Amino acid sequence: MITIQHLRKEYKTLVAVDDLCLHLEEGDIFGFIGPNGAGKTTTIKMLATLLRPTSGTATIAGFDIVREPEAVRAVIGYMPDFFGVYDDIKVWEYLDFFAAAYKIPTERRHHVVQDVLELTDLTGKRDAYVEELSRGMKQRLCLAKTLVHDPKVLLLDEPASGLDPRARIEIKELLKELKSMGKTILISSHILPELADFCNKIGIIEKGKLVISGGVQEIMRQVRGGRVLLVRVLDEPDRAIELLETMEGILSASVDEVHSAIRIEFAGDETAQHALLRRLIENGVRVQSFDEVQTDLEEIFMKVTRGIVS
Amino acid sequence: MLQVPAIRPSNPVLWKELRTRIRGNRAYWLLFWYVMLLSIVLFCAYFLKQRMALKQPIEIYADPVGRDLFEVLSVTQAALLTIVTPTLTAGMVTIEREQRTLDLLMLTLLRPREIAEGKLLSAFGFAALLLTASLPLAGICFMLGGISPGEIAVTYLMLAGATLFCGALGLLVSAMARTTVISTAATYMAVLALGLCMGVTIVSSTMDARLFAGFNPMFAVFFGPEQTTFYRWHVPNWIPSLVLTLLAALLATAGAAHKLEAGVSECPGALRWLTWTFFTAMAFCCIGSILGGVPQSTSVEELREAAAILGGTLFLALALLALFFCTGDATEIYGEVPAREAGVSRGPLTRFARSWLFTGGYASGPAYILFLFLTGAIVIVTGFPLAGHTDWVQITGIILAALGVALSGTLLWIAMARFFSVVRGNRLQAGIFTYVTLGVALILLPLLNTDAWKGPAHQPGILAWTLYLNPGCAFFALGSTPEAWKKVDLSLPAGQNSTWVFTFFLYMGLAAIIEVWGQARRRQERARRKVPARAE
Repeated sequence: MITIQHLRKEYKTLVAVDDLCLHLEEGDIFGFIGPNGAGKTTTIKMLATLLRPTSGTATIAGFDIVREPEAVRAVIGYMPDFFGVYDDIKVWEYLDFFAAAYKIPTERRHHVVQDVLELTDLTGKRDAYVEELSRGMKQRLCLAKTLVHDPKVLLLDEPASGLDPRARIEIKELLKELKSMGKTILISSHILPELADFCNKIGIIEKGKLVISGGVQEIMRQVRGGRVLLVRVLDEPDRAIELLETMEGILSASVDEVHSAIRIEFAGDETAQHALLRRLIENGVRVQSFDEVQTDLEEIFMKVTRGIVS
Repeated sequence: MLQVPAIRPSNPVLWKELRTRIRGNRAYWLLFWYVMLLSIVLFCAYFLKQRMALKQPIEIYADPVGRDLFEVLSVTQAALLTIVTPTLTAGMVTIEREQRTLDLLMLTLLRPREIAEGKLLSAFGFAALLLTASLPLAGICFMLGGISPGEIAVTYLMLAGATLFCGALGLLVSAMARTTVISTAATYMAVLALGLCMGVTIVSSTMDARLFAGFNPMFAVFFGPEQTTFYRWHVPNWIPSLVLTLLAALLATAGAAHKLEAGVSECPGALRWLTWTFFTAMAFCCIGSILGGVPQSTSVEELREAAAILGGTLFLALALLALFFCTGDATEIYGEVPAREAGVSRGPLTRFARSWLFTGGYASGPAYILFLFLTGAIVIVTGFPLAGHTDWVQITGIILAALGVALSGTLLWIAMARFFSVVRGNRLQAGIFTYVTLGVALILLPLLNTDAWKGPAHQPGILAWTLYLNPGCAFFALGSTPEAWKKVDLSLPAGQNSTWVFTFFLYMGLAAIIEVWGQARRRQERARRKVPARAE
């Protein structure tokens, strides 16, 4: 759905995006992660045909972003990181205006506006003035505006930045809804947990370079080289550690003070994991719980960008 | 109850702007104070008139006051519209930029042209509302006598045209400026500067500059109903004036749309067609006015002067236009505004026009300027017989020489614009540098050479050769009679008759050198920045 090849954007003194390559299939939810100023917004703006790349190409749904900007615009919905709304305009007029601007015929426009209002849970605010909405509602309104022409691809630049937790959760729910509608979504954020639950692919960008990208699990394996197990025992943790160190596939084993458990870095698949548990029990270790730690993106991010981020 | 069907314009921008503009108190108060001010001024004028008239003999007292009052009304209205119109449009794009709504708007499927049109028409709609609201006052003037419905209609038409143009100018500035404050200030400056230029031209020029009256509401009111000489015809001034104004407004709107498009997809075709249309209309009107001003019974000498003036004007216009159409390469190299490839087209002529004249490609700028030159030359040459001057055959040589100097000068400034655009890598700087060289050549050189050209015993000094860099000298030599030439004693080393030949070859040579140099720099720059060659 989205193919980016060697995309590069140079400003006078700085290279904002450098040799970026990426491929997304239909229905992919791609989390685009990086600190502020890493080049996320520049990349998304190039994809949205708002900026021209210095070199490299990108296609969205088969349309070239440089040569066929109009065709690209018809299939994407772009939500910028900062945006404003017009004064003296009502919610329904705002949406109706954009629907008209996307050339939706007059007779269908009313339904479209109704639909996106329902989807974004703004039906009650239909006749309110746009500038009177709360920040979270404005964000939802912008998303509603992004959806009026039913785009296949959504480019969302920091959709939940600056929102209170409740509004953030609402946006998240909305994104999950969109995911279930089968849209291809590219979403950027500098806050990671925000993306953790619904992305199937992530990419980490740092100083204009895509440091790593791929499926979430894949990246975790790449970065980790194994999985982390937390084993809580009733007593004698030292004996358990001694025993673990004799076993195969154990990269390290130590007492995790925070969780008051043994933290094991383990290179092996599910079967080996099961065998490990059986051996611990057979050797008389009184295992209380045995858990695989879900690595979150934050950890990956810190690991990947370590040393690069100053 | 009678239901009035809602009329909804098909342009969404127009619909939205009209709807939101009239909302709230602002529009209401503006309308109220507009009519209120006009009424107060009109009342005071009537009162004063009456007081004065009472002291006059009875026949003057009986004079219809309607005409005077209508003039007061029109001038006040023109002044108010000059103040109000820029505020209506100068913020239209910049506010969107400041509010960060412009990106969202640009990403919709609306063409930049539709956006610019919608915005301009909505502002004009409001200005038209103000004008309409003043109609009852005009009606009072009419009833007092002394003014015809035709004159009232012409005045209103001219006012509307001037308002539309000022609005379009504001929109253009708004599309270029960064902030609303800058944009508003620049728009007022532009309106003022245009007004001043017009004032100066009207007072001093050989042509009837009242043709441009439509560019400023004040002038529009004054000169709309007058007559002008146009080639050999006498026409009401408002006809050519309104045509020029509307074309200018259209051009400014297209310029704004073009500016909105820049950076993403540039397709300069429409802008170039409009520029050509405007240029041709301008040439037709100016030449018609200049030649119309020369009496039929005139001597060949005066026609000769007119020919030189025409050549000089053509050169000046094209040298200025070259800055806009030949500096695009700067931004192409630096990856900011690349031109779009020419579309597939049918006939060989369309293909030629599309791929050579109306794309923003590297070669198309000079080609386009030369196309304008050709148009201008044709209008000039056909202008003489059209104006009824049969003697023009005797000065064919002079006309061709003037066109030749204009051509060589245009080529030199094209080369210069291209050179600076490559060297500076920035369109604005390229423009400034080229303007400065033009200014230096036109003004500074003769000043520096004052002593040099009046050297001892009228022998031209060595510095006098630099005078040839001033294109004005060649046109002056072409236009003046031998007697006039002697009187001024502009001792150019090559003498009067060969001045144009020398200038022509000098400019051609310089143009070639600068162009070759510029090309070399361009190749270097492209290689350094690894700009891929565009498929041409």
